[in-house]
This record gives sequence, C-alpha cells and structure tokens, in this order.
Amino acid sequence: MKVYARSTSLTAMVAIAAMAVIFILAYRYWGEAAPDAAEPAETAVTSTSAPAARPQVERLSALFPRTENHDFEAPVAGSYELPVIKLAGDGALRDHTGRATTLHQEYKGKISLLSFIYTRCQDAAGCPLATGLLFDIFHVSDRSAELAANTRLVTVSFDPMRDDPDAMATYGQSALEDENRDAKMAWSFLTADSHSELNPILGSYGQAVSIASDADTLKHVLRMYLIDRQGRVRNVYGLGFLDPRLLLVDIETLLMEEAQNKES
Amino acid sequence: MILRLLSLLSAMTLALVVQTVSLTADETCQSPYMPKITGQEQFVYVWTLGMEGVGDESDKLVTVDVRPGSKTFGKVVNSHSVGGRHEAHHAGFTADRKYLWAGGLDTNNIYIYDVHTDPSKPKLDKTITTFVADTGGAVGPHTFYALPGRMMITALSNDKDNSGRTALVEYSNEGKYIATHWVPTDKDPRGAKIEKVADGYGYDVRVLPRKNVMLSSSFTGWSNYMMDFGQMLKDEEAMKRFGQTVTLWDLHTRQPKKVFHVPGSPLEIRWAWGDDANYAYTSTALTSKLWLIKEDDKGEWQATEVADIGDPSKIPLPVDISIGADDKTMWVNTFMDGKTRLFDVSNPEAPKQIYEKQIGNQVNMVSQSWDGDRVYFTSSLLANWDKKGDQNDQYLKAYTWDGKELKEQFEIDFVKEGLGRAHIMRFGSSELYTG
Repeated sequence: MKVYARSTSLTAMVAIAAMAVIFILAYRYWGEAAPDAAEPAETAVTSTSAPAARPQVERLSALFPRTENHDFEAPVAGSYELPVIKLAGDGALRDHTGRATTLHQEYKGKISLLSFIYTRCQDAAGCPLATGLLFDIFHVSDRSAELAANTRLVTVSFDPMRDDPDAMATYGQSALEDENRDAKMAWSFLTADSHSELNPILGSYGQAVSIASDADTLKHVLRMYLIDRQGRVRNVYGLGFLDPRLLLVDIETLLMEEAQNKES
Repeated sequence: MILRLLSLLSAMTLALVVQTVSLTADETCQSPYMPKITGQEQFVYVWTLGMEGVGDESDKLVTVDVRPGSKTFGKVVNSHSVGGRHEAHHAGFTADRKYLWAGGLDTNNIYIYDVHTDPSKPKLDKTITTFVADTGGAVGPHTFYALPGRMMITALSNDKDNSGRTALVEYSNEGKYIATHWVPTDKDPRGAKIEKVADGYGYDVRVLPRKNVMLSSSFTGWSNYMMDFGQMLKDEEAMKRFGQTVTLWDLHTRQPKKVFHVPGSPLEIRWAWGDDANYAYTSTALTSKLWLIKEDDKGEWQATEVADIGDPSKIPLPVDISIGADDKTMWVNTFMDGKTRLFDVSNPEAPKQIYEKQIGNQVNMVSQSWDGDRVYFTSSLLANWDKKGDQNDQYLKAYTWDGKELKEQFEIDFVKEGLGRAHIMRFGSSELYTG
C-alpha cells in the first residue's frame, strides 16, 4: 500500500517527530519539569566523570506531585490488588540495533511497562505523552535500586514500515545514551519487520490502530500495559490513568506481592 | 542558547499536552476512555426486549439508519435476534468501541456484538453464559462501562435472596472474568464511611478519572424488577426493597470510600464534562428528585438534593437523564407521564426546568448527539413494568433540538415492525474505524 511507502519527505517527518520527542525528553531531563529537582540539574549536564549515585528513596511514586490532571492523593502501594487481566501476548520483533528478539524475551525476569507508539505521532495527547511519561519514570528510576533492577520499559512501534531499528534508536536516543543508564531501568525500543508480524501482537493486547484519511496519521487509542514477571497483564492504562504515581504504585504493589508470596 | 530554545519548544509542547488531555471528552453519557462521535451518528443500535405476540418474541439488537440523505434514513436496516427473552436492558461499548456488550437481567446472559467490521450489521461474536458462577453470585448484568482493556459491569441482584444486594464486576475485553467488588453494606462496609445506611445495592456506574473517583447508584433486586409493576406497588415489603444509596469508590483501587444516603432509588449517574467540574447528577425514581454529588471546598464529597422533577407527589418516576456536553442543560425523562423535561443546570446547585414535551404514553431512555442537535427516545422500562394495553406504545423517536423546540424527524413503531420493547440506544459510525 502506498501509505506505507518510504519517501524522503516521510524520512524528514520521522526525524522531525523524533526531534520533538527528544526536545520533550531533554526538557524533562534538564529543565524544570524534572520531578526530583532536589538534585542540581547542572551536575547532570556538565559532569564529564561518572555520575554520582543519587539518594535512594523508599517509594518512587512519592517523587511525583499531585497535578491538575491527576488531582487526588495517590493510593498506597500494597493496599489493593491487581487481578490478572490476561496473558501478555508475544511476537517476533527487533530492537534498536536490529537484533532479533521477542516481547517475552524482553519481559523476561522483569516487571514491564509496555507502550505502543509510532515515532511520527504529533498528537500531543498520544505517543509523545506516553513516551514522556515513561521518560519521567526512567529519569527517577536510579533513585530506587530495587525498582531499577526489577522493572523494564518497553516501547514498540506500530508503524513497522517507517519505524525501522534506526528510527527507534533515534527515538530512544536520550534514554539509550543516558550517562547513568546502568543505574536506571532497562528500556527497550522495538519494532517489527512487517505488519503481518506486528498485527497479532497488537490484537493480543487490544491495541487499536487504523490509518487516518491523510494516510500519514495512524489513529490509535492511547494504551499502556503493566506486565508482571510471569508474563501476565495486570493493568491497562488510558488517558486519565497515565499518572506516573499510579504506574509506580502499581509496580510497587507487584513487588510487595512478590515479597509476600516468597514469605508464604 | 540552544538549551534555552529546546526548553522553550518543549515547554510549549508540554503545555499543549496538558491542554489536550484536559479537553478529552466523549458523547455526553459515555465513558471518557472511548473514541467519540462528535459529528453525525450513522446508526442507532436499540437493544430490544422480545414481546409476546410480536415478531419472533425474542430479544434482539435492532440497527436503525440515521444518516441524513440515506434511502433508508429512519428505517430498520438490521435486526439480530438472540433467541428467547432474557429481559434485555442496557448495553455499552468496549473502550476501543469495536464491540457492544448487551445484557439480560433475567437470564444473566451477556451478548457481545462486533460493531466495527460492518457497523450497519452488528454480528454476534460471543455470549457469556456464566455470569452468576463467574462472579460468585451476582445477578442481573446492567451497566456496561468501558475502562481501558476491560468492562466494568454493575449487577442488580444476587442469587442468594434475589434482593438488591449486589456487586460491580470486571471482565476483560476478551470476555474473561477478572474480579467482583461487592457493594458495601452495614455489616461489611469495607472501610467506607457510611452517612446513614449501606444497603449494598447497585444500578449505574460512572467515573471521573481526574479525581480518581467512581460512583455507583442503587435500584432493586430480581424479586422486584421481574415482578408485575401493579402487584409490586401493592406489596409493602417489596416497596421497602429499593436502593437508597450512592457509593463513592476509589477508581484505581476499587475500594469504597463513602456511602451517601440518597433515598428513593437513585438511578443514572452523569458526571459533568468541564475541566474543573467536580460534580455529578443522579435522579431518584421514587421521590422524583435531582441530586448533586459534588466535592466541597475541603475536598470532601457530598450528596445534596437540588431540584424536584415534575410533581413528586404524583410519582412521575424519573428514569433516564442525559447531560449536555457543555454542562448547561440536562434532559430528564419521566416514565409515568411520558414526558421529557429539559433542565437548565448551568448552576448545578439550582437546576431549573425550562422545557417539557410529551413523547409518548410512556418514555424511558434518552440519548443526545455530542452537539445536542439530535435527541432520541425509546419507550420500555422493564417487561413487567411497561404500561398495559393501548398505553403500551413501543417506539424509537428521533427529534432535532434547536434550543427552543423538539421537532420529530421520524418514529419507528416497534410493535408494528414486529420488534418488541425498545430499550437502550447506542450510536454507531463507520468513521470510527476508517479515516
């Protein structure tokens, strides 16, 4: 189909969209939007030596404030249950280096937050919002060694014909080249070889995507998925639920559940 | 300098993000997680009760073409019978709006229709027949409310005593049972603060994600909603078995927080859409009142009676309500006198009726388009509660609203068409699934 054909203009659009995300991530990293402003931002920007370990906190969710769009006190981790919704789907993908992998291989041994995006997305309430939110969490994840060691972020493109591994590498550059990435959550940026490989994955998660009339826009419902270490979907988020406090409290709840299960 | 420029561009983008999120909305009474039809709806799906002596006498999903200019405008273009009478009642889309779940209050069957492959011809995809066993005894699947990846379902009763004691139930979009949340009672408040009484009853459910709250209302159990209406009115014990509570829940944790005392069976719940509107309405069937559930200045949620609906002494029996997308008006139907009433709710503390119109001998459901220009009405309340004889008109009626007058566009007589008792309406459009 023509809508999936590569072109110079589309490549430029990919670059522009990727830059927009980089702008957001850069701003969140260096700018006033960083939630844990207690640490001097200049240190992170100007240091040429290995970054100093940041102070640890018991609950990462406490680092994020109540906001106008999420105007409530965050629930207490472990005070509620996250019932199993379904088994998390699997499928063949490639990472940002072109290495063949699968979703389950990426999940392996970690609690995962999965987000479907396309890099050209210019809907401010769509993919940039989801990726920006994950970056907020990624950015503070070195404040909890337990959480960083047990959690993975997974971003998958639903536009495989235009989002090749190089595009995903550009899209995820800020995280992939973060100078303190070894102390933070792992973050996978994945894409598929074809729609025939991708579509069963989207179907299994219930991620709706369709091509808009302008052929360059992919209509989609913003969703994010919490996957436990056993590969089960434990929560599905949409607009309104995309509050870093809720995502982190849910992860902390799963970690507490694991600890309780070990004791019993 | 470059960093300053990046920060400025990013700040502008972030500001846009915040603005867009806060403006997210849907048709006036639907889940905020669902894609919305902001323009012209193409089809109206009517979940219809089978009626003895009418057509095949079975419950069915009826599809009506409402595309202006269509050769079949105002006509039934599809009807799918599920076989048998199950007390068809409410229906709701999944959050991706690809499937419509429709429930039967008597047999507890849930029919899941594919409405995206061909929106003009919904196709039955799956039937859940294990609702009572799945849920640990909840009976009467009523409201189907879309949450991301799952359906929140209110039940009306239970299989122990057939009273209104019941639960909220979650299924995955694939139709797999997830969890049951029993509505708090005096004996088992589950941490909820109780204003006066916690009856454990259920009816509708609606959420306000920005405040992380969910409200559920309360009706009556199987023993009443399957009883003849006239017989029930004479039964003093039966009349005591109506809900008198609205429950406030923590949306994320599903934990009940407060049980408001709202006597007279509060039914439909409608949140206002405004960016900073922290309030919802409900109407009470038996006492004919509009109630406001609102967060006060101290952050505490309160329920307050704010208006009469008609003459409460005549028990007009308020049923469905529909709030305008601008939060300024609300349609309120009263079953017994067959009227719809428009309230000015621009001051939520003091709603005022500004218009009324006779729709039929009886009227139940009302659905309006996002722009408020089109309003649809149906007739049936419950099979055993509908009026008898000549008073039992069964219809879908479509009107336009110009701000002053409802003007009828078409009417479908559901008896003459051999369909049955017309209940809930949901809008469909092929444009939801294409460019």
